[in-house]
Parts: sequence; structure tokens; C-alpha cells
Amino acid sequence: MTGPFWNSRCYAVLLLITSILLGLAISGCQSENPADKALSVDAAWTRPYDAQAGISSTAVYLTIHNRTDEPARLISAHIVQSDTIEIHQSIQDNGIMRMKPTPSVLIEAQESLAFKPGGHHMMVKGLQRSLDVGDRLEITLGFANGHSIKTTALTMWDSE
Amino acid sequence: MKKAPTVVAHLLKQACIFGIILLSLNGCGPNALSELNGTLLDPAMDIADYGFNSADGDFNVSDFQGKHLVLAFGYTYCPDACPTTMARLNQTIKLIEEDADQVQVLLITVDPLRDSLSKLKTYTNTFHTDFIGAAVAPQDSAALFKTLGIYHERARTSATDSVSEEGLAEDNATDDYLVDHTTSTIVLDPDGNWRMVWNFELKPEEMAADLKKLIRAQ
Repeated sequence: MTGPFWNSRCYAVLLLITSILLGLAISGCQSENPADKALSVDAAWTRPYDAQAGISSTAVYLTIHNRTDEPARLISAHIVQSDTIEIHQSIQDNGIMRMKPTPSVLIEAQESLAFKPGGHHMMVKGLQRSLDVGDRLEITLGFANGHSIKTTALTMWDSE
Repeated sequence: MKKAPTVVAHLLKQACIFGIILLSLNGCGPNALSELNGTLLDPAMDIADYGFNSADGDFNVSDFQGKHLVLAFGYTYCPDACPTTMARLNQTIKLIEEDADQVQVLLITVDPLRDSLSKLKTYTNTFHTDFIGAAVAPQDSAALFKTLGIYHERARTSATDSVSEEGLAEDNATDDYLVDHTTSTIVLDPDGNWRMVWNFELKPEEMAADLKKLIRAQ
């Protein structure tokens, strides 16, 4: 005696398999977080700074992650309370440190670039506010593709 | 009759063990100037008793007789390499703890045109209140930089890839310029002789370990 198909064990197994496959497909879609395919910035920091001391430069360090499939080119940086920010690279040349301003920096697709002491850094000129350990400084980075990213640099001493 | 040689043998054995321990202590202990992170000048190189100007008065290398003098080179407008070196030296001094009073850190400007003595003092105090910021006395400047192999030259700052003579002239006319310079740090021994060179990449832990060995070896 065979009843309707939807009452059969075969139908129940088929339903279970379909549910599992559907569940897997949905969870697969959810792991495609848009942030995983984007340009992002983290680990931004700067050193304590005394705007009244007559010393008019400091640096911001950060890491840019390019999780897109296209190269990204950093072309500008901006801090509200400063005169200028330049993208720089310090290069060791036989024990001599040569700091070179560079108009842009390329971050290859699916790669990260760390701005760190003795390497790439943002030279901040004429910052008009003092910074103590723990203070935060907002910086906006501009990219050649028209995107801009705002991040916050934490004031701290070199963490070595 | 059999006991005497046994006692002698035992004593000899103990003496040997003691001797081996002594030798190993001598070879591996803190007195040994081995496995240093910086480059040791052995023997230390005799240098002149150079003079300096600072906001707190003029002084010579010999005024710090009895201390290791750590000479860093930089300038206050430098945003990257110089504060990195000074921050690392601050950590180094913290790491050597009770030996810190046997070391004096000195920042020597490679940009005396812009770095006033008061600015140098403010700058070094940012990192450590015991650090001294100074300019080499004008009559000693060329000799000190040449002897210690410290190169320094004004560079340009504009963010362009090519460096034109016109651009350089423009930068030189303003106060907005960078200085290319040697980033090595030099250590003088308590007699004012050149004892060691640290390269820029060394970590505070590595410099502190070297300083402790140099101090113990005195």
C-alpha cells in the first residue's frame, strides 16, 4: 500500500537534503561580507605632541588593507587642525636615512601596506592642537578611485 | 693508606669542577663583551674632547667622565626617524633600571640653523627629562661629524618624484626642508672613547642588553 509521495520516507529524505543544501547556500552568501571585499584602514597611531613647543611636525602611522581585486592608490591625507599632511617614505641608504615625499602610494589588490616608523608615514605639519597619550586624532585618506576613508589615530608612544 | 689518595682525588675533582664553573662564569657572564647587538670598537677609539652648546650651558665630552655617553643624531623638525630613535632610547633607559644613572643620552642636532638650544631642550624633554639636546660647538662641528662618520645634508620636501635645481632652490629659501642624515647611535665609554655603534633597527631590549654588558665590563 503506497500513500501519496509527500507522505513517503523518500520524500522526507529529499526534503532534509534540500533543506541542508539551502541552509549551506544561505550561510555561504552570508559569509560574503561586503567589508571583506573593501578598502579599510586600521591601527592608526601618532606620538604625543606639544603644539606650543615650537616643534611643528609629527607623524601618523597606520595600516591600509586592500581586500578588493583592484590596486588602490592613496593620493591624499587630511587632518582638520593641521596645515599640511604629506605622504612620506623613509629609506635607509647605507646607514643614511633619506625621507622622501611621495605623491601617492600603491596598495596592490588583496594586499596590506603598513605605515610604520622608519618606513612609510604621514608627515603632519603645523598641527595646531596638542596630543597627550590616549587622545584621538581624526584623519581622512583619499584614494585615486574617488573613495575616502576616515579613521582615528590613537596617541601613544612607540609600542616596542 | 688507601684513604689519602682518595681524599686528594676528591679535592682535585672538586677543584676541577670549581674551576670549570669559574671559567664558564667568566665566559658567559655579564662581564663578557660577546654577543653584542651593536658593533663594538675594540679597543675603544680615542676621540677629541668635543664641545657642545645646550640651553643649560656649554659642556665637553669630558664633563661626563664616568658615564657612558649615548650620542643620537637628529633634528626637531624630523617626523619619523628621529622621534623613533629617541622613543627607543627612552625605553632603553627604562630597561636598564638601576644602571640608568651611569648613562647619559645626548641628542646632537644635524640642523643647527633651525634647532635653537631651547627648542632642542623642549624636544628632548618630551622623551625623557634627563636627555640633553645640544649642538656641537661650531669650532668642533666638522671634526666631530667627520670622525664619527655622521653624514647630514639638507634634502628637499616637495612631494614630487623628480628633484630639480629650481625646486631645491625654492626649498632652501624656506624653513620647510628635511635633512638626510646618518641614523646610527654612538656610545662613548666612561673615558670618552668611542666604544660602540648601534644601527637604527635595533630594539630597546637589544640596546639595553648591550649597555648592561658595557657597564659590567668596566
